[in-house]
Amino acid sequence: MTQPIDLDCPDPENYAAVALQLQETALQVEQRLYEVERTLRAAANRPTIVQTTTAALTGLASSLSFSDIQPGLATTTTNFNNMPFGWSYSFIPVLPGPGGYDIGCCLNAIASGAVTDNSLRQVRIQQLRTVPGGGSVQDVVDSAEATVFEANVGGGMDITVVGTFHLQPGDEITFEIRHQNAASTLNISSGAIYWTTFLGSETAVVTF
Amino acid sequence: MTSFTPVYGLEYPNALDAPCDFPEDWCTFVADVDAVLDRFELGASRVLPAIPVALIQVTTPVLVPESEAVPFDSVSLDTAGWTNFDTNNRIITVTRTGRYTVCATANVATQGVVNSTWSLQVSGGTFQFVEALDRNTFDVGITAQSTGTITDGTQVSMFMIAGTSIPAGYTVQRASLAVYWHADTERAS
Repeated sequence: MTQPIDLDCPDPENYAAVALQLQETALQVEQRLYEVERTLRAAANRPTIVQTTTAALTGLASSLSFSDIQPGLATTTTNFNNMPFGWSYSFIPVLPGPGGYDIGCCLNAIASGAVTDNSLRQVRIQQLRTVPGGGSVQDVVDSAEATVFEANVGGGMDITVVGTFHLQPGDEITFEIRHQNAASTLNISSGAIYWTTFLGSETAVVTF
Repeated sequence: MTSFTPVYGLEYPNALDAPCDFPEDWCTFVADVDAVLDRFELGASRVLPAIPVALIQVTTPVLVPESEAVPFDSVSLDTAGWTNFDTNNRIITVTRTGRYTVCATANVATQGVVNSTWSLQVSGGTFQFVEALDRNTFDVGITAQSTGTITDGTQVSMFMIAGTSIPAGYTVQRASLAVYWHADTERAS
């Protein structure tokens, strides 16, 4: 929002300039209305990306280590994207800018064959940031996760993870899973949903 | 003699006004428009460039006594002045009544009991709880997000409730609690 301008009005001895003054008032009003409208339009249209996989991600082996389940590892379609520039979870772009983001995923994790009763499924979203001067070393800045255990009643496990993250340009967001289904590998079913919405800037203090 | 617009009551001259009144009428008119635009801009400033949001974190594992709210060690984001760790590092204090989204996530160490539970509970406002099974094999991650009404002055905090009593307390390895403004509570028109 730009600094509000005070609207001018004519002095009593200034009748001859009425037409000009009316033009000036109209332009000033328009400028302020334009800024308000621009702000409200942007607020009603927050940068968002929603993606859905259209194929299963298969062959995830039982391990205590986490495996990537990023959108794009299986065939993925973008349902909606109004991010200002190309969005990449592996390197957060400069725009929409540093600030608050709502990031989540909703997926079904299902054994490809036999199920190990009561075995672990743990999905997490991690926010990573490169350590200055540390080469490829990354710090875990934040994470959101969900832990469930497959009771072997069929259908796999539906898992949702969502978090509010304070992202900086250059950060990385990873979606990962680990499991201990020793009896078979694990698949992430087609239809997994991933989303990110920019909530707002970090810099301004809200007049509230 | 002046007239007024029907919605915002903007004052303007009419046919009965003397020409010499015109400057004064104009000044009144633009002052009225100024006031309306100020109100618009105040409302717009609540949604861009920032919305009211606070995000606090546990970045270093912490031992928490039973039944106590999770103590946080870091303010990651606060655009509305809702946090004051010098006073209390367990709360986010909302300062305007409205509808808010609360997002909480935690990773806690196992209780050491097979088939116990962990319940992540957020106090303040009208929010749901989320429960997870603890199989005594791994740390447990829980995430909850919901939208509800929070009134002015409400203190939002986060509790981890163990299904089995842990007198020595429990370890939160990582956690975050976020509150962000979603909408006002006026009836839509």
